[in-house]
Parts: sequence; C-alpha cells; structure tokens
Amino acid sequence: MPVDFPLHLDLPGIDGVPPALLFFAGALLIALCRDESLRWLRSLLLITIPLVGAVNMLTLDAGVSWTWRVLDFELVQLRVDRLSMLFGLLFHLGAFMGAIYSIRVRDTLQHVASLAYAGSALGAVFAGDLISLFFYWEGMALSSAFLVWAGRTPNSNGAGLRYLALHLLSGLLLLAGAVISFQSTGEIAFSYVGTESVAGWLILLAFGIKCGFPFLHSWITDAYPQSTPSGTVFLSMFTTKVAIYALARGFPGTEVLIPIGTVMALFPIFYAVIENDLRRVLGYSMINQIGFMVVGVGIGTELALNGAVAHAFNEVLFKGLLFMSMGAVLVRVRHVLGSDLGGLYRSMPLTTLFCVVGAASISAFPLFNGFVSKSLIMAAMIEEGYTLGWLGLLFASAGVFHHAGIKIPYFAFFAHDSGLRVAEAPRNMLLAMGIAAALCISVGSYPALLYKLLPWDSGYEPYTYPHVMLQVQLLLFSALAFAWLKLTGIYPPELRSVNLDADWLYRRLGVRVWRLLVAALGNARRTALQSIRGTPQRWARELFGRGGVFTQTAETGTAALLVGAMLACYILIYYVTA
Amino acid sequence: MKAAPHTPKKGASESPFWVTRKGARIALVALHIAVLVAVVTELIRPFPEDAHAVERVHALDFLGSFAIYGFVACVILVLMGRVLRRVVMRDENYYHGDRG
Repeated sequence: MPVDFPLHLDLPGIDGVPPALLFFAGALLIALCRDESLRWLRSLLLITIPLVGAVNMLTLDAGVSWTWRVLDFELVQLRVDRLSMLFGLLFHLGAFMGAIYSIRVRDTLQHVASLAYAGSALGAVFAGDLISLFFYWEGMALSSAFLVWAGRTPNSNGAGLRYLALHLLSGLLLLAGAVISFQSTGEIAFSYVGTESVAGWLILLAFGIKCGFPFLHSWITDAYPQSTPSGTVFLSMFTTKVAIYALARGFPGTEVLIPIGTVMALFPIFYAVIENDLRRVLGYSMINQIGFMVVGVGIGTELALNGAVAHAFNEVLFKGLLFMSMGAVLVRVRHVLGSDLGGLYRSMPLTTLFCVVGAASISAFPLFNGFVSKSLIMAAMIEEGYTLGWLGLLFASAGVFHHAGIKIPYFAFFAHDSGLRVAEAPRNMLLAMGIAAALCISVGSYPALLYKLLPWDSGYEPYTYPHVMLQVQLLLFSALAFAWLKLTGIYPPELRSVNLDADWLYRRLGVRVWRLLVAALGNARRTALQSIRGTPQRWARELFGRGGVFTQTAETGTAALLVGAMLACYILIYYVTA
Repeated sequence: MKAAPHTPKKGASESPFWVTRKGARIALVALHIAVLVAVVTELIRPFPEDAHAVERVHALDFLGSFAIYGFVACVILVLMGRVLRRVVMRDENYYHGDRG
C-alpha cells in the first residue's frame, strides 16, 4: 500500500530499504576511500547518497516492515507514515545541502561522521520501537561528537567531551525508560508515551536533553561554535530535529511542555543580544526556535503539531542557511567574532544576500518560510486560550528578529568597516546557500508546498490581511527600536567575553565542588591515620613490618598446606550450610 | 578553525556606518517611512472584526498595538541584556584560567 505522501514514487521491482542503511554503507565506503587519488569518488558518494537515498525513501510503502527479531524483541527498522516521511525527506534534503557545502573539505573523518550522523538521524526517525530508537540515538551522539572534535582545537576537544557525556546520558535515560516500560507493559513499540509513568518521565528527560530544555541546553551553545564550518551546519540540522520528531510522536498534548517551551523561546534572546561569537548567537536562537516547536507539541492539537513539525522543517532550511553563511565567513576570516567583523558586504556580497534571506526567514517576514510555520503554532495557542504564553511567544518573535534577523547580518556584513578584505565564499558553499535560500523563499511564498507534506490537514491560511499587517508592524518597529538604540549608543557593544550560562554549573561549580570533596576526603584520611597512632600502629608494624608475622618467608609446602586447609574449611562450610 | 585575533588594518574607518555610508542613511530614512506606512495602512483599512479571534487578543485590540508591542519588547530586551551582561559577563579566557 503506498503511503499517503504526496511525493510517493512507484518504481516497479524496487523495494525500498531503510534509509539509514544506505547512509551507513556510504560512510563505510568513504572511510575505505581514504587515499587522496580517490578524492573524486568520495565527493561523488557524498553527493549521490542523499539523492539515491531520497529516491529510495519515496518508494517506501506505508506501514511497518524490516522487522528484526533479536532475543525476544521485535526491532522495527521501518515505520512509514506521514510524520516519519516528512522528517525523512527533510533529513535527505539537509544531508544533500550539507554535502554540497562540505565537498571541498579535505578531511575524511568529517565526511564519514556526517554521513553516519545523517544515517543515525534517519534511523531514529523510521525506528518503530524504543530499543532501535536507543541505538540510533547513541549513534547520533557518537557520530556528531566526532564532528565537534573535527574542530581539532583544545576548545573543541573539551566541548566535544562535554557534548558526548550529556548525549550518552540522554541515551541511558531513554534505555532506562524503555526497560521500565517493557517490564510494566511488555511492549517496546514507540508510539504515544505520555507522562503517566516513571518510564514516561525518563524518556521525556532523554528527549529534553536532545531538545535543549532549560538547564539542559548548554551543550548547544557550548559545542556548536567549536566545530568546523561545515560540521556545525550538519550539527544544526539533525539532533534537535530528531528530538522534536520524538516529542511529537511520544508526547503530543503534554501540557508541561508549554511552559518549558515558552521559557526556551524567551531566555536565550537575552543571551543572544550580548553574545559576541556569532555562531553562538545562532545557537541561542536555535534554542529559541525549538522553544516554539516544543510549545506546539505541548498544545497537541492537529494545528499545533502541524506547526511544530513544519517549523522544524523550516528551521533546518533557515538555520542551516545562517550557519552556512557564518561558516563561509569563518572560512575566509578565520573567526566569527562580532567585535572584530564588519563591512564584509563589499567582499562577500552573495554571502551577505543569502544571510539576509536566512535572517528574514527566521524572523518570520511575510513571503519567507518562518512566517508560514510559526504562525501555525501562534494561531493554535490563541485557539486553545493560552493568551499569556502567546504574549510571551510574541515577545520572543520580536526578540528573534532583533538578535538573529538584524544582529547577525548587521555585525558581520555591515556595521563599521573592519578593514577586512577577503574573497567571496567558495562556489560550492554559495551553491548550497543558494539552494537553501531558494527553498526558504519558495516555501514562504507558496506555503502549499510544505502544507501538503504535513501529517494533518489543518486548513490554515497564513496570508490574511490582518496577519500579514500585524507581523509587518511587529517586525518594522523592532527594527526601529534597534536603529534608535544603536544611534543613541544604548545598544550593548560587541565585546570579547564569556557569558556564564548553565554549563557553568558543571564547568566551574561542579569542578570546585569536586575539588572540595577530594580535599575533604584527603583531610579525613590524614586525620584517621593520625588518630590510630600508638598501639594500633605498633601492632600493624609487628604484623606487617620487617620481620613481622606476614612478611616472613616460609616453605612452598607450608603455603600449599595453608591453601589446602582453606579449601577444606570452605568445603566444610558449604556442606554444612547447603 | 582557530579564532585568530584580528586587528583592523590601518586606515580602516572606525566611524559609525550610518555616518560614513550614504546607503545606510537611505536605509534609515526608508525604515522610518516604512513604519509610518505600516501604521497608516491600519488606520485607513482597519482589521475585520472576525479576525480578532485568531489574530489578536483583547488586550491588544487597538491601533498599532503590535507595533508598540514590538518596539517596547525590543527596548526591554536590550535593557535587560545590559543588566544580564553585568551579571554573567566574564573575561574571554574565563574557563581556561581554571586548568591545572
């Protein structure tokens, strides 16, 4: 039975395989082609695998297939429905853009890691049970950690370790939840989970780490700025979107997600305003955008869930585009510090243009894709009567425009002239950015392109006179505020600095507490040793010291006798007690 | 990728962008015209009553409400950002000084 997905392909004689397998095979092949003379083959594989993968995926039939029986578990590798197909398509698209963007990278490790990472993300999205989900979940953690380490700096080493630790923890929580759930229900299928049981809460926490819930978010802003230009593009596309998929599948309508998502949408915008590293600013704005999606899942109506997954789809496009443009700056200038950039529009006019398209899209300007998906969530919020949360999200919308829509392009490409004269981004990067920008505008101007792919039919029309007008007012006056604050000098200048965030808890406080503990234990040991001076110490010396009972030499036969006696005692005790 | 420190080349203009660049002045003027147009449009063609259910909440049911909300939100955002900076900003080598 063909899946009810508008892009279904009917290729006679071809049965699709799980998309993850193709990507894993590709990663393996690239790993085998490490020789420099095979560079063309690596590039070819990198580009063709997402394309072949997409064709393969679109031939899949609806329902559950590729079930592996391991021990007593039915591991479902392919669960095809509209939700998994939407994310599957998105990840193929993301992998394709990322492949073009990274094709000149002379680092096989990164190519292998990115393909394995995309494959794990696809595996997670199509997995039909919690055990398979766990394996792909850990696969994502491991492969993406290599993308962080690919930065090959002391900073990226540390950030990668912290990243991996948190993500492995997330996997363990997921496994624990799966095991508890299996013990109580005997089921490992991954469908609605809910928070009625301990297992549900554990799984929610596991998803929450990957989503960047407040206080669990700092891996995003810690690790993403430390990866390579193309590594960060891949990182931004998969992990958090898989988490949104998993939330939408497992926790639709879980009300606690609404306040969590609202906080996620709000607090990062303040950090983003004062952050200097422009890729970290994008990290904060990512948490903010995911906040909108989490709210959508929490509301749980068809309109809201459509909004959540549509926004996840669009975020891959516009956030990918913004990370790509900052990556291009990083390639040319070697850093992305707002304090030291400026005036790059002269040197990199096309990158500037693409960055502005991405900025307009994330700010939800009419005709750009953020507008058509964010409004689904906002409308659902009003419909369900969450007025206060809606006002919060409206504040966050203005804030997004402020830090991602204006700040990123302004400080990188305009502002004062930094004197930097560099070359335009490489052509492959421009092509990848061009594709992303074209998709942002197409989806934004013709929303039916995306709406047709959504899991439900919500019949929502984003382009009404009031809606367009209100959004334009909101954004234009936010821009006006930026201009006036900048002109009057109230706007905080870009400064080289570190801003303390939740990662301070384990990078500084945790370290301090650990050191205090170690010191306290050392003191306790010393005190204990001092307190046994005198008689006990003398006994110990007589027993274990030079010439003591236990340090004397004896015949081998004596030792054998002792061992024999010990064995005899052992058997006797066993015989008596058994 | 190393974040190599960069010092602006000699002769690079340090004066604000909107002072030195004609394009920036034009952009500023255009922005002011655009905000005016956005409000005047609502004045000329008010929103239909039935739009309120989805698009607006009662508290924001007046002319230019979203404009004011956006402006005030951004001012609050920046002022709060300045306060936040006092609380959380540290030297850029903050986490490196703790090794060893």
